[in-house]
Amino acid sequence: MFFAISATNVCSSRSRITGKERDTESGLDDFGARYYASSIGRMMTPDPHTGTLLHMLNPQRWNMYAYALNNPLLFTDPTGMDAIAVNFSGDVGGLGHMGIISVHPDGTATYSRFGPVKGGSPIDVGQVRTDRDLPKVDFGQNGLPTDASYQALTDAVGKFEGDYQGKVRMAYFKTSDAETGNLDAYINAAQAASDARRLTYLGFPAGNCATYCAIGLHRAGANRGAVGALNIFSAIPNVYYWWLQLWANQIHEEVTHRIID
Amino acid sequence: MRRRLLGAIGVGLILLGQFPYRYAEYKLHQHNWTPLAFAFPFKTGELNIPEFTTDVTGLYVVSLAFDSTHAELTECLLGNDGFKDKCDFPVHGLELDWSLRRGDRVLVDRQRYRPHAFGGSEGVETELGRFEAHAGDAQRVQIEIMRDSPILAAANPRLIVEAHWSLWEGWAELSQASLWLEVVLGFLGIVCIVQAIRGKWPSRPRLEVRRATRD
Repeated sequence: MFFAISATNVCSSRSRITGKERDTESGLDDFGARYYASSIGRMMTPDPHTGTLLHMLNPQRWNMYAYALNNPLLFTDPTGMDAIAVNFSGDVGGLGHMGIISVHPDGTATYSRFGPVKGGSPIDVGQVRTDRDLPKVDFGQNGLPTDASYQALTDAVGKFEGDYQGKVRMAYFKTSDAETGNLDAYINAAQAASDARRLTYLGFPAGNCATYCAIGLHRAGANRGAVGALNIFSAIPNVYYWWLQLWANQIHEEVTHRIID
Repeated sequence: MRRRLLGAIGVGLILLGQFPYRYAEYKLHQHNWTPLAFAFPFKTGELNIPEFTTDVTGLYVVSLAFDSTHAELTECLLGNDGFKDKCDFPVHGLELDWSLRRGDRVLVDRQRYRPHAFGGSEGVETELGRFEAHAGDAQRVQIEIMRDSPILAAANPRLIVEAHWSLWEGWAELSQASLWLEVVLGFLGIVCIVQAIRGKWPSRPRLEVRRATRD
């Protein structure tokens, strides 16, 4: 009797690996973009984000049916709350500029960026600015924002940054709810510290918009790996985005890049 | 002759290192980026705000700034969703209309405050809106406060009109980055000058030794 009740309870709960729903007919877990067969520990369809040549550098990515780079203890592949690194490649005389977007399950999103004050002192406080008026993100079948949604996000952050007309690049990271919660907490703490003029902006070497973004990604669990959140590349925004393109695909499941002119 | 050349190179390096930093500082301070920073008493009714003249052509941001003594509470009162759990008592937040006139022309007509963008360099800031301006234009902002807020009133409210950061941020970045160039080139320049004064030229002693050996 005990086992019968226990079995019923288990079957009635549809939530499975990383909180995904299981299709009761097929027994597969729905990951939005792909179905996962827990019985064989493999995805049922190949990874739709085959990426670039760089994608092939990591041998774990060669198996396009693998889940979370065959390392489910380190990487999870949930949909829902996410993080986006935004790069404005033509800003600041070609050095670029960066910001970060926190995306919530209901599609609401927050853009945050870090910059200098206009006092002009070489070592000065910085200011965090936050835009909470972004359009709601629409997710497609693959669990990622639709093209129209990417465009709307680009337009919104471009407008916030002063009708920016150049190339906007976005690196989209799937993160867990808790991780994006960490990112939100980070943005709020930075905003409060900026309000109190406690954030130092150093510009070129560190403590700039790219390091702000890098720490945000790290808090969102989207930038883990051997190199860590802060590295020499985050000294220059465009170089840091190049680093994201080069390495983030290797160490994190399902990061996608969009370039919108 | 070599000592003079070395000294000249040292002075040249120091001047070369100074140029980008001085130029960025000049550009950064060439304009009045904040044409209006007006402290006002936060109580219901229309405010009498002085006219201001914009100094550059481009986008301007109108915002309210408050002291950051209780930053999180103030953010909450301004309607910042990220801090909505920081108001644990009945909230009396910001409720106001704002307008913008340029001469007889109305650019913004009684727009209700809607919390959407936060942050700045003047403390706790919330954005009211934006407008395009030309250098030399004279404008006037009008604000009508609908509801008192003792907490916000105590936080030294100011109306700030400033040029959008995209107009000046690049110069601030260049100013900071060029300081490092100035430090490096300045150091090399001082080394050259010191060497020139001491009269040492790196390759000279070796040459003298070789000549002495031949003799």
